[in-house]
Amino acid sequence: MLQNTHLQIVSDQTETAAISMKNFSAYFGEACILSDVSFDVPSRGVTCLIGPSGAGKSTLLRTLNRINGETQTASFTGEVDVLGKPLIEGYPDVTILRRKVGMVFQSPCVFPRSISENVLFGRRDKKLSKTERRTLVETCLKDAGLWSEVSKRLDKPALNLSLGQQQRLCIARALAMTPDILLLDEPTASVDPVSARVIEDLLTRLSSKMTIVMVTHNIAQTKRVADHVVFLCDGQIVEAGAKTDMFSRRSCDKTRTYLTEEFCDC
Amino acid sequence: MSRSVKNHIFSAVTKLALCLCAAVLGFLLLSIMWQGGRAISLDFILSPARDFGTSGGIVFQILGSLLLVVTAALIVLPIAVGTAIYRECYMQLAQNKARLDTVLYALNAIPSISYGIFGLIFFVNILGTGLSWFVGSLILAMMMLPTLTLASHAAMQALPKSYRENAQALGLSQGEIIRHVILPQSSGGIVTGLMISLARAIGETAPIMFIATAFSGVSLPQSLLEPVASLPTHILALAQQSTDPQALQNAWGASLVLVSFVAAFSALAFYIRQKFSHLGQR
Repeated sequence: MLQNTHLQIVSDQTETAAISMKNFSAYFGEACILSDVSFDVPSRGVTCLIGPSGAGKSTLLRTLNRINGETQTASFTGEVDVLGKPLIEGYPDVTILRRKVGMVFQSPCVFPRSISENVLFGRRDKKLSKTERRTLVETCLKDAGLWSEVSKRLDKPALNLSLGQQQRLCIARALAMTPDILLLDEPTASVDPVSARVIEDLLTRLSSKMTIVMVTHNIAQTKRVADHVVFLCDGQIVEAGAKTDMFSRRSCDKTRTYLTEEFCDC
Repeated sequence: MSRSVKNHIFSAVTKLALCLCAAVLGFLLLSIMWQGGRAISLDFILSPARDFGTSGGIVFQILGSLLLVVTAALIVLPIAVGTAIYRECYMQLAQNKARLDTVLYALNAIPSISYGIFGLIFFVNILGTGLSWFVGSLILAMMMLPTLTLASHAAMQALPKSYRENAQALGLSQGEIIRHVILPQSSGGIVTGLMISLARAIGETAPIMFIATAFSGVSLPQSLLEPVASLPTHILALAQQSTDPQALQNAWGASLVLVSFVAAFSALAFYIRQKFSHLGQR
């Protein structure tokens, strides 16, 4: 078992890590949520964080764009590098980090504005022309697989969309920031199975352009979309590696048990 | 006694309480409408008062009251919204938030006459402003401050946390989140709070009668340091001449106009709350 070791899931030595964590521990007040976690996330591809509830998956994900930092009691120790720079010292302006590291949450949250305004919601710093704005909206909605469904009602309220459509709109909104890394916290947990499959296909397509890190409880989904898997339990990494290795007999007993029976006795 | 009987008795008692409450309000409103209706005419509303209000109309009282409360609203709005934003977005310690809330609730509980006395001592006696409508607006703004701050803060607090979290995740700065998320989404609650505090302020007599208003002989002020006439003080002056039936009838008429303003502000607050209520459903 590879517990508490620096887990290299970068398959090729020449491949650079988009995210690198060394001896990372996360705390909320006195409570230790993640302990001595070390692993690398390779550039491009989908890395799935799996594990039972309370394993620390979301805490780990929310550390990567410092959303956790908004919580007063949250703190961490260890080294975290994102896109080759330290998470804190490398990004004194957290808004620059968050533009490079987009995030989509479990429950879709669209703003009570039109569909196109939602896509452009984060692009306030740029003085885009009308044509550029329209092109950006179209590109992002196409990338999110939503264009054909909403192209004729871009000025209509986004709140009228179905939950699945709203979640894809949230992904389009994150893509409009042209992030290098996209974090997703159980993006299909609150949508119907059909919408979930659409989002999965979308992530597979996007994985050639950017690094995707996704928290999921759905093992079948992990099997369908992941390139790399990190299995967390009780605040520690149990095992991490390429999906093919994790779903093969080469993985450790605990991983195999979790992947087959969705049960963990850590 | 069975549970069902107890339920029926409790239901009847609460219904009776509701009926009593509605009856008091209904009696009050009907009296004002019945008595005031007889005094109201276009001439009454559009002409100035004569003979200490016993004849003529109330046009300068209406304009004076509106001038006082609109200026007070313009003064208090940025301060109250700014305080609410600071409390919601920048204040870190829960203890400090609790202290601020205590101060606001304490300010809200201060009797209006105390504001009037403060204005008289500080502005009129110490600063020597004399009777000034602007000082009256300042005092009304102080009175409106806790109500509007608490209402603005409640509106901001009611916003789903996910709005802010999603905006943060998109790389918006704190200032951008305030401008583009918090203020637009809580504007309904803020305006509702403003209307409610306006409705309260326009009916206040005690805070302004020593410092801002004259009972007769004034029209529109030409400078900040002149008094105005206002509806509440006009009603007070007329009520003191209760032996004169004409003065009493004009008092009823002025009361009806004042209650109409309060009702209009309250109705506007209700409308705005309904219009913006869908924003809080997520």
